[in-house]
Amino acid sequence: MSNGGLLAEAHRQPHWLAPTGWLALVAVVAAQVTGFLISRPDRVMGNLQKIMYVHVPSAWVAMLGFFLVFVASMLYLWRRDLKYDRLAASATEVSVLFTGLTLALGSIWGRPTWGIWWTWDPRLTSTAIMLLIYVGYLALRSFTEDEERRARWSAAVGVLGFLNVPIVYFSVKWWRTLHQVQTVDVTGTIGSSYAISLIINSLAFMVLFAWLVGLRTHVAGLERQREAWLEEQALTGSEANV
Amino acid sequence: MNAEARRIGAIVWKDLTAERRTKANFNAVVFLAGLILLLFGFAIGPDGQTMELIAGGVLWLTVLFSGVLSFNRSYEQELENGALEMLLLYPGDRRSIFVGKLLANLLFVLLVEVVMVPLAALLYDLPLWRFIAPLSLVLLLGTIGFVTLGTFYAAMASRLRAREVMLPLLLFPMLVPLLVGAVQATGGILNGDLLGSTAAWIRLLVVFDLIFFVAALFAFEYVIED
Amino acid sequence: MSEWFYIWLAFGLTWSVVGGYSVWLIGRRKAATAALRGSNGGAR
Repeated sequence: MSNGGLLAEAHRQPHWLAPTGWLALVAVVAAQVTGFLISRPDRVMGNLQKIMYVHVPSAWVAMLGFFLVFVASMLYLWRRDLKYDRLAASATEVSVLFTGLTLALGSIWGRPTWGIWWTWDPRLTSTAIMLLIYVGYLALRSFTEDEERRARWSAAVGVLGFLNVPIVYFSVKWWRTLHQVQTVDVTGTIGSSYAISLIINSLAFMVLFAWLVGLRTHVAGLERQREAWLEEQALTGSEANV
Repeated sequence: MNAEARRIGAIVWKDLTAERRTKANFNAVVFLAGLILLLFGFAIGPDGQTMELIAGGVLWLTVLFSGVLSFNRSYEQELENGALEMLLLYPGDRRSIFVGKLLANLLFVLLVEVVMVPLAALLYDLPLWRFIAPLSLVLLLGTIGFVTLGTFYAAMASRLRAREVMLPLLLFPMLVPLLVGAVQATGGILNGDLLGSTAAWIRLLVVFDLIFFVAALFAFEYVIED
Repeated sequence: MSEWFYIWLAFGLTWSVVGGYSVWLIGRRKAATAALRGSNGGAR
């Protein structure tokens, strides 16, 4: 195989990835520092409100991520191009990370606020269910060896899982409004510096998310290339040079 | 359209008449359901009032835990003797396969419930017969959604070595809205509240069933082909 | 526990998790790229 030159090209990451990474770093640092230092303690929540600057953006980005999984899954089923499968799986992995983080942060916020680590708050509860749905997605992938079948099955699971997002959210919300419950309410201060900081942090997290998913997808592509090459070597019985 | 219906009927018939397996399995599942009902009683009782409060939840969890065992089995036949390839060779929609298996599983689980629900009413002192009509409706709606998603995910899980873990892991999180709706509706009915929130929960069940029947139908062909 | 304990816990957790994952990904990219260069760099 004499296409060492071609393959060297394929090794390179997408040209937008590195700039995005640097932008993410700058944006996140700036947004976090601004939010942390500039906003004043909330009348009700005190300094604890600062936790929202990581909790809310994480939740937002996780939700976006699952939508991306949905789109990539549909694209795979339509086009059958494995790059969409790699994108879907990468987006799931990163979103699961942020979902877990959202739950942990919600709990950390809740403990000093309500005295307990968990209150079946509707949004956190829905988030926990979404976490389980997508952990199932990842578990399914880990048990399925054939890459084409794995892609098809993951896509099906990814599509149905996302369809359930609004249903889970609304049903849990109705379920909880039958009883008085403390909720993580961040909507009382729209337009204030607090809300603006939330938005800025959410935007910064989106850039971070884009970088993480892009990097993860790229790595998946590299590893697949390596596997494909190894398979070919095994099949043709030729000796590797390394 | 007729040919389709006949194909579906053939699959229902085939699945339900794997005689030896089906009958033994039915008995086992029914006894397991009874056992689960008892276990809940031991775990939560003996205070009668507490048991009455959680009866709806116990009922539906029992349906879920016992019913889930029947879904992987509905693909076992095909897996064992390569019958899946043969089934897929026949002309006609993958969808007929899905609907056929769904109906067979639905019948199976409903029959289990016919035995299990009166038993639950006995153990937990529930006014079953007074509210038999609305309860039957809720049971039917809840079971349809359960069996739809169960049949769908089992198409994948049954082909994995970790099938006993993967099916519940994939299925149960998806069933949360259905569980919540069914339990709330059941509880509401048993308390005599047949309007208002109970009706809203029943609507949720209908919407859930519709959305996931269509979605699973659409996605099934991607999941069953080899 | 003062509220600052929880605030630091929250930010610390967030950035160690995100940072750790990023570092891990970058490491994986490095390894995968090296593996590929190794396989193909010498190929004729």
